[in-house]
Amino acid sequence: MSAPSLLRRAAPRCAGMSAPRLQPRLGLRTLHALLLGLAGSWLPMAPAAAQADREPRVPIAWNRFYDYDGIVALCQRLAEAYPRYCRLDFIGTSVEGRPMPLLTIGNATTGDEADKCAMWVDGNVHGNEVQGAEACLYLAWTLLERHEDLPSIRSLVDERVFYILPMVNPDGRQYWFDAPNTSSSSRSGKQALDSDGDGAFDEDGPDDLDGDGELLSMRKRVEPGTGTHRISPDDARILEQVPRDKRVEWRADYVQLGQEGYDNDGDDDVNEDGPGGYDMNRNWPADWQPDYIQFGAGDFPFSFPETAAIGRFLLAHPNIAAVQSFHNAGGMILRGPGTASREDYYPQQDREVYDAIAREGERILPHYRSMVIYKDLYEVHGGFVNWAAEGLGIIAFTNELWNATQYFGDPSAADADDLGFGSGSEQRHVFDDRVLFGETFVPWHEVEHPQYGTVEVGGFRKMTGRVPPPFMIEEMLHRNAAFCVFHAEQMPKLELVWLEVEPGPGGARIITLEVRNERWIPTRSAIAAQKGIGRPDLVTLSGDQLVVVAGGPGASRFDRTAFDAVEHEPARLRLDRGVPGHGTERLRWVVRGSGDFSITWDSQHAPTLRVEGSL
Amino acid sequence: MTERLPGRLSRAALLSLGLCAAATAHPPLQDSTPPAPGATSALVSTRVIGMSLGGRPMRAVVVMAGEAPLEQRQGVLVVATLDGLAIADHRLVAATLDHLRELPDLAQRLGRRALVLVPVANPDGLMLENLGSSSGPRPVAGNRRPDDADRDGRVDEDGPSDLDGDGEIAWMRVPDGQGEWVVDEHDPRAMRKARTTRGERGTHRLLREGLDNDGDGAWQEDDTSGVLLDENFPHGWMPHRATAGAYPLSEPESRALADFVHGHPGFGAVLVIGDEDTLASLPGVAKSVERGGFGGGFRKALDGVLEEDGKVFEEWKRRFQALPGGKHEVKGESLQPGGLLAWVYHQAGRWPIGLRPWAIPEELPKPDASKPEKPEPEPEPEPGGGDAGRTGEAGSEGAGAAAAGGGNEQVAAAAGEATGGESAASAASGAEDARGSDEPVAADAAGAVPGPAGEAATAAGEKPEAGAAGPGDKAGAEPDGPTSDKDSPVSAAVLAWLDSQRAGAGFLPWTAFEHPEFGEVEIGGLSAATRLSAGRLDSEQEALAARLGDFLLEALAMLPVLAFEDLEITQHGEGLYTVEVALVNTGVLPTSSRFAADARLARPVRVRAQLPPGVERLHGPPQELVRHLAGGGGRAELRWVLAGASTGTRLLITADADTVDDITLEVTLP
Repeated sequence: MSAPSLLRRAAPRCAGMSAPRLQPRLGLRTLHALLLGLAGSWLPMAPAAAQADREPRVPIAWNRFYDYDGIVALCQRLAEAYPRYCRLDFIGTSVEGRPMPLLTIGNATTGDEADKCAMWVDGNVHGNEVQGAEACLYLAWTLLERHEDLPSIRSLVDERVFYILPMVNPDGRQYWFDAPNTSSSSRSGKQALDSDGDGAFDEDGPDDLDGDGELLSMRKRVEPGTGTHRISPDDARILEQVPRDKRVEWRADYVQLGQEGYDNDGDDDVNEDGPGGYDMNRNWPADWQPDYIQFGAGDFPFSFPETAAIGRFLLAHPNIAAVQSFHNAGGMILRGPGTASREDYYPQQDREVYDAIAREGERILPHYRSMVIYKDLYEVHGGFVNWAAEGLGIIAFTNELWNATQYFGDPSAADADDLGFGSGSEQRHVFDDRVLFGETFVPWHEVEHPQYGTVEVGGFRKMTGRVPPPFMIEEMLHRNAAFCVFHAEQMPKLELVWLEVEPGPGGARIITLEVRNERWIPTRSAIAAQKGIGRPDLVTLSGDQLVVVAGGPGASRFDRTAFDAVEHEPARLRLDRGVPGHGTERLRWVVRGSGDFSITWDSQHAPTLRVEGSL
Repeated sequence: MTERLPGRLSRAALLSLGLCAAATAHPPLQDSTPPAPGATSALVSTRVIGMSLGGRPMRAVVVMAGEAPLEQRQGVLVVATLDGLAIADHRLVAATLDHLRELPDLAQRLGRRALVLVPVANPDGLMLENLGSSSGPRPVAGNRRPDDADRDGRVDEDGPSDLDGDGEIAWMRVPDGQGEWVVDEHDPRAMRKARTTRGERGTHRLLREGLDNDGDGAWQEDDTSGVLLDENFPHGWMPHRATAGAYPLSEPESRALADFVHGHPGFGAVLVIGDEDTLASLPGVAKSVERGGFGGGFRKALDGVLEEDGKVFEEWKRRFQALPGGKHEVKGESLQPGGLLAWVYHQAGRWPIGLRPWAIPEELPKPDASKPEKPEPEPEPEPGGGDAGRTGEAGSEGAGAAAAGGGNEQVAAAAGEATGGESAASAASGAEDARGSDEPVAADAAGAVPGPAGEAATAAGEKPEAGAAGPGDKAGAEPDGPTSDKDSPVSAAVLAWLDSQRAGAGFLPWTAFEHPEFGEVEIGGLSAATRLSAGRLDSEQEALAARLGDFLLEALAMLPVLAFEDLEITQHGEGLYTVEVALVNTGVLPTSSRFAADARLARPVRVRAQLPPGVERLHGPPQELVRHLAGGGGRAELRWVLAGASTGTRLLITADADTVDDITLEVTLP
């Protein structure tokens, strides 16, 4: 694995804290060239096109998954092919030293990056949930490849900014590709932990007993009537559980022994201290709780270099107004809160925004359901989207990519269990046999185990269950990119409704301004206003020959002359609640003087609106 | 008021702390500084455990004997000056170090264990190099992280300022019929909240000295104090609170302390010198304990300490109180959310010890005719507020008398003393009180709100309870009780204490000032630093230092110790043996707190029997993980049945842990 070592030695470029600008970073050229060379050997033979009759500038096969090097190389190819719209930075370094690539997509010629509202998209915080990285890249690819010919994409790239981080957990991803794993293992990062408290670190993980490169299940045949399972009468590959009171009668003759592995450290336990053993999606400062309450939380929020790097980046970019994170699996569009105690962090005004976006998401993603994490899934302390929403006041979603209901295309089924599609089920074997020609199942075979004697090893390979089969990958990626595009389109955009100057009493003039937010996301979320997160919208009225006597927001939707005059600084109004989604805000000033004036509407989550007039 | 610690302290101790080179703006970063000369100098060294936000090194003094790495030792960590206004606390550490160095048997008492003392955990807030200077930044409570506290798009633009140029940041009392405050009837220098529920109207606003720099109608709402480090730790951290930081351990200073604790698992206790105290009053016991969750831990954070651990806190307290120095009675809340001590117990799994060295009593002294020096009661002010000029004058007289030497030798002597080092008192009184917003928060104390009983008593013509009557109730009513003004930043109780114990020093007389925004106001009162520490005397400091030094050595001696006891070997013939032994904790403290054990915060003691080739284990686990051993002989019985052994077969039984020194028992079978 030569490429990662090269990368690890390369000093990462950190885009984190300095004011970002969309300029090509020439310093990465050498690294880019190296990566291109390394990536060349596995580039796909039949890459997909962005549309049937159009040759993409960066052809990419979307019917497969890429390891760490592959993802970095694709990022590099996109950045090199679209230097005007795409920049590659590395915002941090993983535990094992892998730089974390970040694509920034926007149009530097249409304005300052920091003044545009931005969307953060990431994936693969769990190392095994690999398709999150491809989902990120597919979005980047779509934005870049379709910028020229699709107006809706062009306006997004020109007016907004996308920060796309395909791999939150590069080490976990690479380990999932490199080592024998199941579809669920390698979820953690690779910081060694003493999971069993014996003073040794990661010393007793699973083992590929037969050296076939797969991490499968173990089962052992025992005396009939002494086991807990038996071979299914319908399919010898399936082990079915026998009720406790039927074990003798049904001659239960098998026991399940869990994941392939043995007792590496001689403590009589098997596989109790594998690689890592934590969960980076429990390491964010949103109702974070220590490990004894929330498994995998880490020593404290941002205790891992990967989460710390992302945290620094988000805190340094208050222009981020939308967040999307990709996981697998289950077909879910998830929002917070992660625990019931955080319900008050989702005021009604924000819930309306979430509902509007998720509702459209369910149409874009037929097999996906809009869900609230703690109510509909399980409790999570310290989750990423929870931090984005509750800590930063950003509308944030997690999509759980892929749902087994898609195997046979039945979106009416609530989940895989409704289809009888659980692990080891008959339906799953049917799909493997008939659609995948038996590719994903390893037949049970005998292996000598150092502690258990003769056991049988077999089961489904890692490339199934939580990830779609190759021929279904691209649709998953495209639909989720489409959901991101819709979400990004809902970032606030202020438009002038009208500006009026009218004479007032005693020679004064009255200036009235009304603006409208054409999108669902407010310029400041309700939770941000409630908790004092970020800065309120600032509206400044200025003119060389202008004295502002009074000013304030409109007080009545029916009487446009009514306004609530502020006590201080009428020329610099602070609007705590900003402009709501699909809402308007009217401001009114009483001024004296003459000449030209300008009004600047400065919002952290919306492009600055400048209006000029004359008295 | 001025006072100085003797030169011996400031020279030797501060030098050894690497703090005496304070004249330079930023002491250079170095891994260690040469110890000061002395009999025990070889035991003392310094190291840098982190860098502050402003780039200042966070120095730790290491006291240990021998060559073993610090990371492998048991020890106790001492942290002071998390609050930059706690000016005297780092000097208490220096004095403690002096005391330790003078102990002839220090090396012997240390043994393999170590003390690590961090005298200035908040170097940016304290700005030691500038203490005593009449110009330049004053100490602040936080670490000076720039922040837009009032969310107006401007950073740190509206802090307090020294309007009258006297080198102090004090208080302004602004005559205002809509204000919340009135002059306290106990003492016209003092202020208390108006009792609006009794129809009393406020006469003043009470603001920190300064201007409305940004013209937004608020005063000192966006100062330069930054993050309060003792609100920046993860347990109970409060989001969206400006002083708590952007996230837990967001500040390099708090992170450095957490990293030190994590990196030194043998440091079983952390003693914090600050506002919290566990040695006078014990931490509360958890009322709600929901066990379960991952690994058999807990389902939610505890709201106190486990009852079993409470007994250990009692022992810490008992031992400290038993040391020479009298009863330690300082009140201090303990294990506050977001604080270092709470994190130490709830998430780092160590023993937290809070020591609040000193505090002005919050209650007025009871009338005592036997104390002739007690000042005469001040004349009661007119209803509706005091005469500004008269009260200021009275305050000046009181302070002037103190400066002239009334009542306290050390205070008077300190005025003429010219030893090196900064003047803690003068620096303290000049410190910015950067903890609050423009107006002080004064909770209605129990006595300030009339209860039904008090009202009923008054109606019946009976004498009401103290605290039930207001200043307007002159006939037949006593003034409110001594706790009624405890939250006032210029409280009668504090002033009375300063009068009786410090000859009034520390109070800045109210002085008329023409404020550009308010017109005529008065500036004076107490600085926050005065309340924290500036009134501490050398004699008190030295006595406490000796007590603290002795307590730290005692704390080291209390740490757990493992031993194997009661080895029994039974031979059953044909190579079959039973080996039984007890693992015993002979120390005073358990191997960890019960909470740390149950929450899996402390690694268990691992016991292993290493067998020679050919010997087979028929019974007994290959390794035993002992989660918790109580102090004072807590034991775990271990038993192995072995086959294939013979006379002369040698086994090694080992016990290792992070919190205790490892032990090995070599067993030769008979």
